[in-house]
Amino acid sequence: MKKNWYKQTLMVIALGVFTACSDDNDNVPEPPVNVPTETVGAYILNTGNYGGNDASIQYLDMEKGTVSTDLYAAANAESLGDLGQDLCLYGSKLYATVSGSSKIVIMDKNCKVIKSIPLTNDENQPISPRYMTAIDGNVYFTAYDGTVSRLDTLSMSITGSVKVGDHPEALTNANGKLYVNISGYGSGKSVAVVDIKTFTKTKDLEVILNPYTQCITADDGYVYVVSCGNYAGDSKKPESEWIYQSMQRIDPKTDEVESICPATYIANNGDNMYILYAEYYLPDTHKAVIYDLKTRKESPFINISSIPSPQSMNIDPVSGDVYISNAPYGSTSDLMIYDKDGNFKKKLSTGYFTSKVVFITNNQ
Amino acid sequence: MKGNNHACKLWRYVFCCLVLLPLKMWTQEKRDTLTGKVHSIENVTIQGRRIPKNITTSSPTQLLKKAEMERLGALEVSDAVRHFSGVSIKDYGGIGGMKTVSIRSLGAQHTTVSYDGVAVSDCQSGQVDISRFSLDNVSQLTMNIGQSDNIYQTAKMFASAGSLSIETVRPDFDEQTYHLSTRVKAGSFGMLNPSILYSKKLSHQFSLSAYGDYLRADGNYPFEMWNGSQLINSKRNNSDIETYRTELNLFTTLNDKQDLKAKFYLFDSKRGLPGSVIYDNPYAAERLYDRNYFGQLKYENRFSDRWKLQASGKFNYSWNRDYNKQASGDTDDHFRQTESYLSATLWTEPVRGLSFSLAQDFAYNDLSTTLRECQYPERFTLLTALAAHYRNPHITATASLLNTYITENVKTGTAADDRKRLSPAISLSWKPFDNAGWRIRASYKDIFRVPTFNDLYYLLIGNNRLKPENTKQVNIGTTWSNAFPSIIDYLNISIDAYYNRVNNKIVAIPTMFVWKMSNVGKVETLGIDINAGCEVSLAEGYKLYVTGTYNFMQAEDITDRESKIWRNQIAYTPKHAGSGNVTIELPWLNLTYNITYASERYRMSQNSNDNRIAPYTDNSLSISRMFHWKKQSFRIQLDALNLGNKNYEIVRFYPMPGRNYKITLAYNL
Repeated sequence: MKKNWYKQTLMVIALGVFTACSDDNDNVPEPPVNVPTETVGAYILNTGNYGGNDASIQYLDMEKGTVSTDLYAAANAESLGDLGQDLCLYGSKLYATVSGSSKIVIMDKNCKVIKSIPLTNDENQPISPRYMTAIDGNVYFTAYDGTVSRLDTLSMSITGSVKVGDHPEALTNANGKLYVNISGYGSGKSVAVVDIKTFTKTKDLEVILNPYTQCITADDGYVYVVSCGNYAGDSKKPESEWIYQSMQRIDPKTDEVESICPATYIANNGDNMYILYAEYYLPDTHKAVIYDLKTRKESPFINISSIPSPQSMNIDPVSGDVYISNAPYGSTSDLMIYDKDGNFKKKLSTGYFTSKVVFITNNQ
Repeated sequence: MKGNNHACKLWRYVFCCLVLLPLKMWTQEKRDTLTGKVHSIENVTIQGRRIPKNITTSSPTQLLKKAEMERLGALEVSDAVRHFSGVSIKDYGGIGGMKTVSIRSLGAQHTTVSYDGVAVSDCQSGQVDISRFSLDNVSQLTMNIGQSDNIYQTAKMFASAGSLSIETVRPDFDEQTYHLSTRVKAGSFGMLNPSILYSKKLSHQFSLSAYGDYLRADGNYPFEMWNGSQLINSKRNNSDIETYRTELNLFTTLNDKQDLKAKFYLFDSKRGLPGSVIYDNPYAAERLYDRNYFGQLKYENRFSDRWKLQASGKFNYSWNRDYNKQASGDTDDHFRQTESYLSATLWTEPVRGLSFSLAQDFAYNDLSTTLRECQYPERFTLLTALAAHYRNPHITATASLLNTYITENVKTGTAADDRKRLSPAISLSWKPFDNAGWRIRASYKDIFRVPTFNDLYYLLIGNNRLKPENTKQVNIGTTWSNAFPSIIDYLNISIDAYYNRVNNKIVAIPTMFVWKMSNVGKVETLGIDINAGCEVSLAEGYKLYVTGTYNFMQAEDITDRESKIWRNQIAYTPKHAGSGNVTIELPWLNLTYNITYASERYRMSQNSNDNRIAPYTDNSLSISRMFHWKKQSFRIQLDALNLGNKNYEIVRFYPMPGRNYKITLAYNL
């Protein structure tokens, strides 16, 4: 069993041509070299439990529909560490930010470590790296010391870092700029803009309170950011002060921000934005819809009650299948697979708190 | 039967000794400890002190007196509690590491810890860290599982699944008007703990005792841990602790029927929290500052042989500060809680052997924090317990009914609904034969724990709609004790089988981004506790004590048949656990060997290999010697702990210290 997925991943390496960081890329300025026609597999990142040192990466074999054991542990005879926050496939390598262990790990496609870089500030405090985006030979990652750092993928060293704001979270790139959610640990209300060439912060765009883990560049070239608001429905606040979770659109040409619709998790495929929406205190608001970015109309997707605690949503770029992870009480996550119209296809058992699925297509 | 007759004779002899020659006994005891006075009169059975109290109770009760604790080599409260059966200690390692007591897998929040008869409360976390109490001024520890036979106590003591009662030393001035006891403990990893206990009889009416101790430790012990095939060889850091404790007791005898006892307790500590071991990230800088002050007053009036009343009051103030230096900015959170508590219990014995009690408690608790959106909750609790107890040489029976009424207020947001509930408990012990020390017991208790302030109001994860977490406990057991003169001074065995059911278990469940406290869990526990102990006189001055416990516990999650954790053993609960002790008393030396064992456990509800925590055994050896000179005594004790030198984990990623040593010097006057 183990040998099979190894073969598969080796094949993937042989095919490797061009890749971008997971699903949040492929924007206008760079037309794809060739269009993928098949998804051969996917890496599954499991964040693991807080303080549990149980982050892991699994391999999903598309043909067989099976999930491997922990690739990282198999390749390195040790645990990936504590809290695997993000996983990025770029070029011929995999990058993982491990937040609790405060390191960024560079791996080959079998998850064998090429280099692991511990991340601390001048006072030797761990900076807890968070999310990544990759462009032009660099991987950019946010960290809780308020910075975005630049990792050169050739020299595999950090070539700079820039202060962006308090508790930066998800980020993406579009039109030569990085867009960085500044969460302020719940009190931030901006998206920082960093010019990639000069690697300097140029401005803050005002958004709704608490932009957090969702910041993507969609196929239409726009940047989409989700703000978590202030947990609307909280009885400690009057209704007039509730701020709902919302998706906003940033035009990377003008940097104008436009509020679009309520959302908690978003994933993009062509003109469709798949949206999960669940206000913490307001169970009646919960819904899962497909939002058409062109017509601005929404259509039903799935019954969200089948996923009581979603942790991530990713889309297979070839088939358009939607992968949503669910973390049930007390046990490892399930990965629920739906086709693009919301028909249930399959349920796979994964690790603790599955937070990302990174697809490997045959053009990579 | 022959043996039984002998035993009967022996008991008669002991009984005579107890009644007719009390002075001799006290003297004997006093050699071990200046203040080891046995002041529990009510439940002393005719077997006398040789037969442990737990044998006659109708629900499992275990008791350790100061002399026994010294014999076991126990230096901390948690060391002593480890010898109780059916009880597990969650230990985060080291001297500054939190230690909480859980009874039969129910979790520490179901255990009431009382200090001189008054419950210690923490309405924020709901659990009591027993490492904050010193053992030096403790005279007795009692562990009750289910409802105690002692009905003459506060209503709060009826309101939990079990209780650990800590009784401090009450000075005895029969022979001299003052006592002084000083002690210094020193040990590995920079541990130093001097203490002093002074008591003085001021007049016929007044006496006082004062206790103080200081504790410091670096706690930076080395440990080894495997990350896959990589060995982590490191030291715990930021695990230092410094603690001051002071206690003042004032005893007043108003007349031969009435007493008043006042206690003031001051606790101040600062410590580093080393946190769990995180792979590739050894940084730890979190500091915890604790202050706990309380004063309690206890009044008793024994109107007649048939009526008595006790009343107590307490004011408790706890403050702590949690400070952390991080790359994302420093955090500095303060927490403050108070408790005002009043209790009165009326007891009567209208017919010999049949007694009733009515206890009424009132408590007010509040919490304020500097956390974002603190709701400043306050809680009013009214507890009323009505209990009946019957005892004759064959039967011991206890029944009680507790009424709980709780109402809460918050400054912002919505408070939890009022809670009203009736909780019954019943227990019976039967001795079928006159001449055999054999008893059968059965008990049932239906009780709950209220959600803590953290469960209800903590930041986002708190949930004010939580219901109480209910427990039902059924216990069936047998106890047997006997003596075989000239061979075995006494031998006792108790075997209890039990069934526990937890409903509406309060757990944190993940939702989108945020965790939420919810009543989702159901747990079913089947278990067996076995206790055995014997005492053998080998020759004049040569004695052998052997005790052992074995616990089987199958505690399974039965929340959802479709889930991955259905019928999985719940987290941190070993199926098999046990402890053993062998003590040899020689005229010139005492030798003690202790062992504790726990089988594999899981750190999460899911019993997968990744979550498994390896079984452990912990061995320790203790040697002590006592010197006497006139009224003075001097004692030296050497301890070698965790002889196996394995950094086993009770809580995953919190390695325990390896082999370490302690020396104790004690001087009594």
